[in-house]
Amino acid sequence: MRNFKLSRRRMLRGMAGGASVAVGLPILEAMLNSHGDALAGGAALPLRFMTWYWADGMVIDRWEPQQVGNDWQLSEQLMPLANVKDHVSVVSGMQNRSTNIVTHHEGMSGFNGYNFEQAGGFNTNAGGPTIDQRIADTLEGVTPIRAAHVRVSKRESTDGDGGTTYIAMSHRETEGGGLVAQTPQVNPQEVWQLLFGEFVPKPDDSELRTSILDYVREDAGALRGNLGTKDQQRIDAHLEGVFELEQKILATPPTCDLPDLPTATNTDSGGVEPLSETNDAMARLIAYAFTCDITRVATFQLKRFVSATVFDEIDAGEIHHSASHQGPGNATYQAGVTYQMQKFADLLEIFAETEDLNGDSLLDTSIIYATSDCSTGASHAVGRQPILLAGHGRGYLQHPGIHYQATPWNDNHNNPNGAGNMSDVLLTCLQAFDPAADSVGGGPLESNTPLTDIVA
Amino acid sequence: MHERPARAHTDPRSSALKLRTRNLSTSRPLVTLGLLALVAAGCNEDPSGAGETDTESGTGNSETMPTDPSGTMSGTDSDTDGDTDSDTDGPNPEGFVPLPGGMRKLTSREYTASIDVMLGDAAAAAANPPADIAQEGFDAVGASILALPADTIELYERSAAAVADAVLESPAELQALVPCVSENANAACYREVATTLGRFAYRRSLAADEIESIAAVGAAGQQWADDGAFMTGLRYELMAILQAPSFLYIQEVGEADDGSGYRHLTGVELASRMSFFLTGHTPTLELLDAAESGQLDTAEQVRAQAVQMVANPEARTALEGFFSEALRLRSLADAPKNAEVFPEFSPELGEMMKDETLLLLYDVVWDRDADFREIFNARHTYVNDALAELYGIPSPGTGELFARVDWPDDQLRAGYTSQGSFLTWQSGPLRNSPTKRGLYIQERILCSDIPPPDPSVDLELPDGEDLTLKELLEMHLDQPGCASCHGLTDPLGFAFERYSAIGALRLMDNGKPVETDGEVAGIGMWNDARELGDVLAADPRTGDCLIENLMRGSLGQSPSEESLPGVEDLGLTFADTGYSVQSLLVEMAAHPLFRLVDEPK
Repeated sequence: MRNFKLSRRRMLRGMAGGASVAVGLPILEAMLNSHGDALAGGAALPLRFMTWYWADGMVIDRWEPQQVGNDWQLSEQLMPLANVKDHVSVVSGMQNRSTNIVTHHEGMSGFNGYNFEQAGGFNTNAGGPTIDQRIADTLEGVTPIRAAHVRVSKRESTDGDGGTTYIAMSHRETEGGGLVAQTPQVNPQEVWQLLFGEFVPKPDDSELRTSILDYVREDAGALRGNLGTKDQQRIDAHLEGVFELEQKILATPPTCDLPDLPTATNTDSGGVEPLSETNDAMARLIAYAFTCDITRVATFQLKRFVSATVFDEIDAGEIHHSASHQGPGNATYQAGVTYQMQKFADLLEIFAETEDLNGDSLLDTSIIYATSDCSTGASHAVGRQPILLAGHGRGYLQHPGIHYQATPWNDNHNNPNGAGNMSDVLLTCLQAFDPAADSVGGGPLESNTPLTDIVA
Repeated sequence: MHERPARAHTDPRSSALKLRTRNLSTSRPLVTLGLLALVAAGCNEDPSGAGETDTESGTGNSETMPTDPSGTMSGTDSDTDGDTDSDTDGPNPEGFVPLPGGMRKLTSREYTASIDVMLGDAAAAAANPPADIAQEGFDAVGASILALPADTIELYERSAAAVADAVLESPAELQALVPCVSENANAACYREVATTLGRFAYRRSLAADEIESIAAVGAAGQQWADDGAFMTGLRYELMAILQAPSFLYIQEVGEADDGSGYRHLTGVELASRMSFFLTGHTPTLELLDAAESGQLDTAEQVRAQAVQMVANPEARTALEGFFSEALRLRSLADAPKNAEVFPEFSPELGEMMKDETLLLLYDVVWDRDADFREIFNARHTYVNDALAELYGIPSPGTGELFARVDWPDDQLRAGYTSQGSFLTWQSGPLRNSPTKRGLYIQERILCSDIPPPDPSVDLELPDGEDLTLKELLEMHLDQPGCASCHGLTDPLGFAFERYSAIGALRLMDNGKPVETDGEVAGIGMWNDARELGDVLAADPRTGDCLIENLMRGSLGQSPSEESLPGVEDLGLTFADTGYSVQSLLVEMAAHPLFRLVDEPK
């Protein structure tokens, strides 16, 4: 299943515990063939995918660039992307075709192309698998880990938002037809453990651990028969998790050296969240895992929609979501949008600085799809829901990036509805990994027509 | 005599480690009863252990209630309550549909407390279960409905390994449970571990093939070890037990109940539900023995058992966990407050507010076993010097220690909704939020269903430089699209305009005196927070809502429309006990709402 064969597993596992973890860059060359244009096993060089999410929208006339096509200039709120502008395409004026609307939750359809399912009040559940999971499906078994899921701000909604749409930006469809919310990790050390901890040299007890997992399957099977459909789906999800763990236990360790355990733990100080530190630490961990080919898929959530997050680093002094409801003219809200773009830029710059296997930057070899949960935060509108595409995708996406505008502003710089179908961009992303894919999403949001304008 | 609440922790994992009262530790001392009594002027404490007495009387009262479910339980006739028999003609005498059966994952608190009771403090301290994901405000609801992603399965493996390592380090508690365990034990001991610890963890006796499967893991581990050490095999055997779905998921499927037409929990399922509900951890082996020998078959037996469990100090920890969720006390240290507007707020102050509320709960529920509704209209509270300064009341002079004090009359405060915990959390970083405060009262104290706003509503507040917050918000009430909901929430919140977003007294808003009078149809009218507290305490929904929240927080399920008659029936019993929470816990465990389930979900 693995694409490359270099294995230090037995050697590593045979070492006594306590061997120190080397620090340094991945041993990249060992993963390539002699020409450096393919993996050692002959497979194509890896393409990575990440979704990135920022919360509570933007200010349309300060975010959407004024110019379209190749000659676009950074808008006020996109200015933080200056250092990576060539690697970014802006897709504006699109339409989120959700017909189920409860505020904010429907914007998450921008990640999967399905209406959410109502669950009462501000509770909704995802209606279908998200794009990262569709892409992970195409990469099944290729890397030791299917996907990484991280979040930066720990703050919760104070307005009772709930359901899987709220708790995660990634949803995986199980074989039994259930959806499993891929709830993200908020502690960089925990993320390090999940990405790299398995590969720390230690006595090889993999057979014992997998035999325990066999027992877990046995026990789950006995339990399953007594349950109803919903709980059976939960057991199925549990078993899928067991399978994932088993795959990781049995995986060939990566040929790269393991990175240092980050010092960041996302612990508040005096009630202030270390957002930038956590953002950077998470970005570095994912960049490292991508480069090591430990996983090729990630999701990255800066904060949850409607969360009580305060952007203390810019002295916001107010919950960003609350500021959004003071209207597009509110300075704290405006600064908060720009701040989130800055965090995205920080991440992209870390990718840009990370050298990939064949000397390209990780930004050259990745596709990063980003959106929010609405356009205008004050009204939670999903018309003109903003999209950013970053990364060159090994030549798949336009480079330098463009501004594709589905429909221009009206005279008031405020065409509320947008045009086209956001899900087209998702299909475009999926086809980078599976050219035969012909559909993303379902119902009124389904797309069968990729947005070719953004493809090179 | 006064039990103090366990310390608050913002990290649910670390708080889980502090579950058991014998583990209590605190970085900031709380005063105990003796000190409280000295400090609090006019404080009339009853140090005679009235709680237990009242529990007895509460139980006695309920004997006459026509709610005894025993006739509905598997045809058991051992209950002698004559009223019950006349109620068993129909399949469901109380006319409600039980909640569905099924499975619920252990919350991290339950997981850690179970490790603690099975394997001891050191093992519990090593436990590091995945973080809970609350739904509807309760971890147990999330644990009932969410499927686990792969990361979570791996985190459970890691926690199991850490617990197993801790047991190998200090095996005394396991040795007390399974005496054969020692470095020189032979392979047969793996079976004994599987039989005894497996039963403790799975909350039922294991079948022979299950014991073999688990013991085989231990034997394989022993073979793998370079030195063939028994303890190495034990490590993997413990990991197997702690990763088993039978441990991680509570099963409540029941068996066909001829009397009701639904299903009744089996003896061990009921023992498990009672134990997590009342003591927060896996049932003891003694309780499982009782269940397996038919000693939990009747309501009377359940009640007697529940009385004992409620008297256990662990019941206080379990109930504290519930209230910490229900009253949003867990997040107080994180409450976002603007440092320029509220320089006096700090995470530490948030923690003190949490302790204040818990002390009032302890006072009402445990120390005096008083009418629960006092939580909403008590004229006293518990403060240390810092909180007294915040509230603008005379300092008790106790430093960091808490003392019982009466609210000065001119502050017009009463109960939980006048405490910093409520006022702080149900506010913004900059200003009060009468809407949040009112919504919380509607949804969490009265269990009203307030619909979310129409998505198309313009949420921008109008400008009004010369207006008070109340005057600004009242503009909402002039708009038909807003008034239908805000009319149900904001007037409740206005009652607390006398207190700031961190609970300090504020008599003026934007240069004008605050106005706190209000009226909401179906609830009542009031002039100030104190009168609203009395209104809430007198509202019959307040008692029923506690029951509903206990179902969410402990059973992990919101009551369905069809189950509400059962809640109301239990609510009548609660009223009959004088709103004794201790009695309610007992009566709830004995009620068909608790003992029956519908088809598994």
